[in-house]
Amino acid sequence: MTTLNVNVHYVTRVEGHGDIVVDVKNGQIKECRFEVVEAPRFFEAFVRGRPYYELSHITSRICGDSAITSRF
Amino acid sequence: MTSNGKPKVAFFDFACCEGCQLTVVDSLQTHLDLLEAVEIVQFREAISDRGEDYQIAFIEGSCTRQADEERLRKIRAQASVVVALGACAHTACVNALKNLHPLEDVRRWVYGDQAEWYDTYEARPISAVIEVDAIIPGCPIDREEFIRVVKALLLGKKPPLPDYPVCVECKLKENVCMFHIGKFCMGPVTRAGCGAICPTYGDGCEGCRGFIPAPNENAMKDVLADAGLTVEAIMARFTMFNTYLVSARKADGEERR
Amino acid sequence: MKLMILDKSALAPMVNALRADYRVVGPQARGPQFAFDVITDPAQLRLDYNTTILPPKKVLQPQYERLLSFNRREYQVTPIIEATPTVLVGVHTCDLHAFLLLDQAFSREYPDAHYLERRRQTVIISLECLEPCDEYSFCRSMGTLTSDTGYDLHLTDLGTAYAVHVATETGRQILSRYATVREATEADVRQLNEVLSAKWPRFTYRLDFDAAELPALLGAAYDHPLWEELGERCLACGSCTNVCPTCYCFNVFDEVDMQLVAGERWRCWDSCQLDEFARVAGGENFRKARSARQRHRFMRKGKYLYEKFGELGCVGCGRCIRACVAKISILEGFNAIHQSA
Repeated sequence: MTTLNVNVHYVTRVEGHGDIVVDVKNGQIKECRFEVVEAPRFFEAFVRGRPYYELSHITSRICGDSAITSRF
Repeated sequence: MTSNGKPKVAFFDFACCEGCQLTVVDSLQTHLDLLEAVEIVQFREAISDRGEDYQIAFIEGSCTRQADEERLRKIRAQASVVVALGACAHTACVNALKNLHPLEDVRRWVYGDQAEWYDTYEARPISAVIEVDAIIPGCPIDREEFIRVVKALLLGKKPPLPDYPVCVECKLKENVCMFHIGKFCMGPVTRAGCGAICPTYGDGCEGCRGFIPAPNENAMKDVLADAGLTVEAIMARFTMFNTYLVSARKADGEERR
Repeated sequence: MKLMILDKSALAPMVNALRADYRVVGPQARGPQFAFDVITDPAQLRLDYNTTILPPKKVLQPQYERLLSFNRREYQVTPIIEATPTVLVGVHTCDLHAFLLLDQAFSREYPDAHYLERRRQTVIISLECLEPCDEYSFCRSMGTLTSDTGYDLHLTDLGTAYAVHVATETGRQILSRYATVREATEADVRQLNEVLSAKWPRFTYRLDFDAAELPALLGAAYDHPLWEELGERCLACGSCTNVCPTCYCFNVFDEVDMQLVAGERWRCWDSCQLDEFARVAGGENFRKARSARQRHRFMRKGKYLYEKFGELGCVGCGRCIRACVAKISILEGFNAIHQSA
């Protein structure tokens, strides 16, 4: 029976950091995890206390490339 | 260098959205010949290769964890040229807004009981940790500016970085000034290079490219106050993208006439 | 100089006829302001404009312009002169005076082939101002409220028609080929004279003194406290010089292809108000302070250009005053220096 240990230390060709961990023992999946190892930016916390008209401009930087379309 | 004489290039990211790297990928639409001029050995967002032998490192993202410093120093030790790619790496961008709050509170607010899973310290530009040779400002970067910087590096020249404010590009486009139509704009103190894209489309500059080398902060505040902004609103304009720079300037007591 | 009459209803057909052979550039609405731009429909032409954001200088010295192309492998350099036959319509007399100064700047010492070729291919149809264009202009003080030179044709609004002064052979040909006009009658001449003499009182002098005193006044004001005061308010954004009809400084840069073999040399407007304008090889910046840069601007406009070209560098158009978000006024500055002298 298959015993497998997959440890993808960061997935490529995607936006965002993620690792994949798969642990297979005797054909049985014991563990299968997608780990998000990205440094958090804390948007929910730092928008507190900002002027309301800024919020769409700041939160659209969750993905800055599409900042303008996100604003709408 | 590779045997074909092309410099080897790698891309890295820290706390950011990775949109500037996406802009790099996007720039290939109009500058496919970029791939003939350099060899990309590592670019997690775009390729699967993980080459560790590179001369030029483009780094996107802010440093927000003690643990990131070691990775940054490793990149610095390998690369002959380090380029800060985009506002997060250049100024810490909006990431530094969290520096205005107690960090423990920031972690709890977002992650509750799991707060201790998420290590963080005050967000900072990569230049606060390692020496940086060139900067491509902006949130996101301008792809033409990225190409210009690459060409300058290939020519062995100092990459161009506009040292004049957005107003210059805005005036040369003959835009109606934001202040003349009751809007607010950080253009007079913000580094140009974006082609004044926000004012061109009717929105005041937010300062995402950081300040010019010697911004007249006091005069800018007077102008914003004249335009009807409260002290709080003026500070918000200054800190939206430039919290780190504002704090650093305050610490330096920098002021030039 | 010959005087003709162009009925207002004949203006649009004239513009359309000109468009067949020329690029026609004239004032158009831009938001709440105006800008010189290529006319694609005669309805865009707004001869009732107050003033434009940028002066029509941009037609003769574009903001960005290619100078030459080069190839490093073939050691080849080819000049690029971008000029199109152009009719520039609706130029106010302040800007005409500025053209006369630019002509000197670009033809003396180092004749500039790019500027001069565009100048050669540009027909100028100017417009007499009958009312102050806005609160900032002080053209009468600077002697630019009228001009008897610098144009091919000059229009004066007579209500239902324009009086057209024909100043050059080019102007005469333009009228005969593209416009339906008639010769002015004695009554027309009388009406024109009335309109012209009635306009002067509407323009109040804004300078507290005779502009001819400016060079001497500024000569004695090098250490005036005004400069420090302006330096504190100035944002060094360069807007004042970028909108100035007589500023002609430029920067030069190269754009190369990705193979680093071929490319183009460009120039673009530059400004003495910017931090790095006066930085020279070796790193020294000899006008580091904003106060020194503002002083330099005042000196250029009121003294240096006069010494060089015999004309004041300020034509009183008021654009720099309007453009300055820090509300720095060259007029108030000149008056302040006069007052303390």
